[in-house]
Amino acid sequence: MFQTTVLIASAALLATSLSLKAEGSKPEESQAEQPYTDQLGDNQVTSVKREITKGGGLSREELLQAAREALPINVFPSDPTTDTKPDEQR
Amino acid sequence: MPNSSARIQQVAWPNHEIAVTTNWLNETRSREVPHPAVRVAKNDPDVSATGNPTIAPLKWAGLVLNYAAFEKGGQKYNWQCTGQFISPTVVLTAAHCVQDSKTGAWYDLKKMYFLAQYQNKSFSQSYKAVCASRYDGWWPPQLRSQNAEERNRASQNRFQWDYAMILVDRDSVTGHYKNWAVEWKGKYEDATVTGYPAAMLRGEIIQKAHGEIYFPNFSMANIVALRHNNSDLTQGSSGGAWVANFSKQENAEHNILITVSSFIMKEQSGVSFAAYPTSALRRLFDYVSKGCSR
Repeated sequence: MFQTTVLIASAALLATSLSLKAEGSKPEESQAEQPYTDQLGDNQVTSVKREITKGGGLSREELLQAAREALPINVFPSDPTTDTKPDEQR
Repeated sequence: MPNSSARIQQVAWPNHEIAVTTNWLNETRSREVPHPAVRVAKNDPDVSATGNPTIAPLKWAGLVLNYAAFEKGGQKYNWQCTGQFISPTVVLTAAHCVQDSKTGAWYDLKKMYFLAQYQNKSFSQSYKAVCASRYDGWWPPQLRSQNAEERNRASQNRFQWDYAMILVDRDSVTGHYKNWAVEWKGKYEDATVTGYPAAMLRGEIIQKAHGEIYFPNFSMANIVALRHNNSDLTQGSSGGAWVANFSKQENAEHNILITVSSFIMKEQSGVSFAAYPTSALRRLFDYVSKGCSR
């Protein structure tokens, strides 16, 4: 009886552990990366970095769909000849 | 946006080069899928700007995709830009392609991809972003200044810093730009702009346009312009290379990357603007190559 109880408890612990591990290994859902700065010569740079994990991410089909639907990024500064108010648009 | 899907379907490169190149065939084994067909459409009225992504230098270019990068009306949208390999693992693009130019929010690296040789609903390889860096001149504190004049000055001066580099998760399969120049004023008088402008074939095929380089006489610091007279080469080509001595030949004399597209001005149709690169660009490259670390 005692052995059976220990066995069940061990199995439960193992299952919980595996479940947590699986949850924690979801590759593309970790915390957002925090920007950090460094000095390069006279100028400062800011960077973001992530840990790359095996697998995960979008499939080829999802990437193609996303590319097909993607909108172009663009910026329009103000007219520098007149120094008018900046007018960045999408 | 005009519906040009019919044109895309029968695209669109009336050049014989694609037929004679062997690069693509040699590399087919290492690709995820065969290259999207570039079909010859002899009657297409205007495909003179259509580039060939199977040969140098456009085989080093691709789409920078920021998946679900912004939300509007409960719906998520993706952003696209142009980028290109400048080393086996470093992609050069515009700073506004990695960080929102209005809010300053960085695009999520976990949702940032480089789709090499993207063309007509296909690509050869996808790469994940590992890290991205840009100079703080792109997002200076003065942009939030209470002083309108100071804010205005900052918003114009920052365009000299509109470039960024992305380290990707593995080596480029198709190679990279081997020649790129900084502080090149007086050396190059013309170049070829490249990119995926949405107004041309819906951004499905990389475009190129040759033109004269000049240094505009206005208040923005360190900005260079290129007059290609193609009014459609606009949105989506941000981050695309300006290439001096554009050629399918791969040697030290050809395909010199001299900057990347930054912005256009409504008042100056057919002209693209970019940061004039200094030695700071090389320092950023060294930094990013080491994992965005010193």
